[in-house]
Amino acid sequence: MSKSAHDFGQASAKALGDRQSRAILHKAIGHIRVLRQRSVNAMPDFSERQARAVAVRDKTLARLPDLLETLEAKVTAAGGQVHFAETADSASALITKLLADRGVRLVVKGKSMVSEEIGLNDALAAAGIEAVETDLGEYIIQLAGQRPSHILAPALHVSKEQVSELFARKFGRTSTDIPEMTRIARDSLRQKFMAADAGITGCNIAIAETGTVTVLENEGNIRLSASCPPIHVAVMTLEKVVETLADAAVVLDILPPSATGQTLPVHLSFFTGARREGERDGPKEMHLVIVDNGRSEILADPVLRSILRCIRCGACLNVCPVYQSVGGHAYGTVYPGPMGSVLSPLLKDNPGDPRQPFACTHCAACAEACPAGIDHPALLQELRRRVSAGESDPAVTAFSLLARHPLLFGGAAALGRTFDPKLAEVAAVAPDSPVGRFLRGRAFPGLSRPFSRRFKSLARRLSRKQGGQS
Amino acid sequence: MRTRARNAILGRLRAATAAGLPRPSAPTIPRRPGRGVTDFAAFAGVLTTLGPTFELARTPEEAKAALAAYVAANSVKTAVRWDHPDLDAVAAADILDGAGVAVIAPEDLPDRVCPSLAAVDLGVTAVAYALCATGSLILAAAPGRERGTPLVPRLHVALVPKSRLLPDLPTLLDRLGEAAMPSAVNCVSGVSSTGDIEFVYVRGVHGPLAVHVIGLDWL
Repeated sequence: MSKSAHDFGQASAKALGDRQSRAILHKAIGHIRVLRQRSVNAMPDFSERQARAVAVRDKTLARLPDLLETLEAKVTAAGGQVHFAETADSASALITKLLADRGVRLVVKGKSMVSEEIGLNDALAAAGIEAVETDLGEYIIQLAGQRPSHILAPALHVSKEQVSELFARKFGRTSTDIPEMTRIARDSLRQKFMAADAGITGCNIAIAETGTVTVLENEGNIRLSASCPPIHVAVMTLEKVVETLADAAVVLDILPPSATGQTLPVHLSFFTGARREGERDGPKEMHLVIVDNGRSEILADPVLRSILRCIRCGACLNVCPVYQSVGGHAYGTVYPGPMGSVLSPLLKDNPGDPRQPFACTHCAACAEACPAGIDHPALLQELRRRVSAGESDPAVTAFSLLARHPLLFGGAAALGRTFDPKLAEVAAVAPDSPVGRFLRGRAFPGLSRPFSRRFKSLARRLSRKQGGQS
Repeated sequence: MRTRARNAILGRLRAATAAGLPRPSAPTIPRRPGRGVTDFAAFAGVLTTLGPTFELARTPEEAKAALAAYVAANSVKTAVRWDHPDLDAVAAADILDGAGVAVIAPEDLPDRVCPSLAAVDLGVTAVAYALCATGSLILAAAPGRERGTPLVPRLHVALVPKSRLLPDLPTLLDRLGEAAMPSAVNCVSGVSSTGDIEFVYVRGVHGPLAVHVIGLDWL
């Protein structure tokens, strides 16, 4: 994981220039958005479900230390072992040592964003342990030597032609038929599942009262990873806990519809501790690793703590105009999109570009889509305030002065309309002037025909267009 | 070292929540378990849209015939089964044996179960419950009820008695709370699937490629 500062501006400019990837991204995101919307529309009580979920998440955060202690006690009572890790590095070191001490050579992994966050695959590789990603999307990404671009659909940006080429190179066997490519991956991964010494999975919800790790998936790879190998390691960040089975039901009411538009995924699994006396399969050893990596400090932050309500459904990514345009890689962080722009700067490692919170149009589509009631734009506003505290920019100062005085603003606007200073041309000639810096990355309209004058004809055009579609 | 990390994290969390914040934004209202219907028509209606096939048996004889017909139609040569009263109720082991299928009983399984099942055609299980709202099969691990049996073979047949139908997931979680949690409870709704390549939906990724449910109407 790179610790050097990432430049979102440069990375997004590059992403915007890649027309092929943008087309794939656009199509895929549009598809998930439709699935989610259809599912939410089919649930007349969705807003009630949402209100219940917000209440459960807040109750959980208020009682976090107690719930983690209960979880620890219950997992232990069910024959599991619980480990706490303060940082990303200590978490990956802990897991690597745990597996190395037991002579593990091959690990199968279920898709887990926290394992990306702690850089687990690199740590395992450095210790000579082969870790195979078993979610199809994540497997493709791993074979291609890339990073996920979406928290739910990691290979969203890869075309079937690219997958086909990749499989030809890696397996010497390929196809352009998607079901056939899926079969090739199944055959290759089956061997890994059967031979693996350990399985590593994430955890969508941990249930404190029973000591249960809950995971959701469609493929069945997590079920295999947690059931076949003799060791199961589940990794979670500490806010993923809820108190009771009833609380888990409340979260499960909104997570699959918001994520993939399903009522339930194909596989919803509840794993409680290790295999019991008399059972012939299931892990002999079960370990739960609880990672902090900055989250206990986020909880202490009265303004930003609501980001810990996040249940990682990805709904905010799918509606974000910035994410839809630049894709997940431009962020340079593990978590992209609105939730990532808030969370990443607050994490200990790989915080990304400090100016990331500025890459937001404040359209608030994310807040509207969020089933956990997170107001991302407000949190991004606060992060902007913190980043720019003590900075001064003449263009911003001037605009701020005008914006606070309606009379001045009106006067300046009238002057601008009359004399149209062609700010875009000024910016082009002097890109490092205050005006140039202000306009970098912004499209500035001519002033002679302001929005207020164009509104009528725009409205007419829009209503004609909508009339034509319906 | 481990205790130090634990105590440091819990200490910070206690300090962060000491002031009684963050306050819940609203009282938590538990999700009401559904009062929905619990019958085979509702269950099978949802189940079959998710990929599995369904057959209703009104008598033990019909169930036996359904099982025998399924193994014949799918060229099943080898099978693994659970130890479960619902399998005994239809004499599943005898039916499979009579159909010329080599059946692995739980006590025959080796120390590493999954690899030994990789080439097996069929896994036959019962269910702890089945959910009508979502067409879900609830599989609970226990001695004689291996996790690998409904997961590793290429086909899965589940026997679902009428008395095990529940309305929905919240009802299931209520029931699970009444006893100690098994080491694994799997709620399976449909056939393993993926959309990871260009969102093209493909059924049959890692779990069984096909699932067949036989409803036991008298049980």
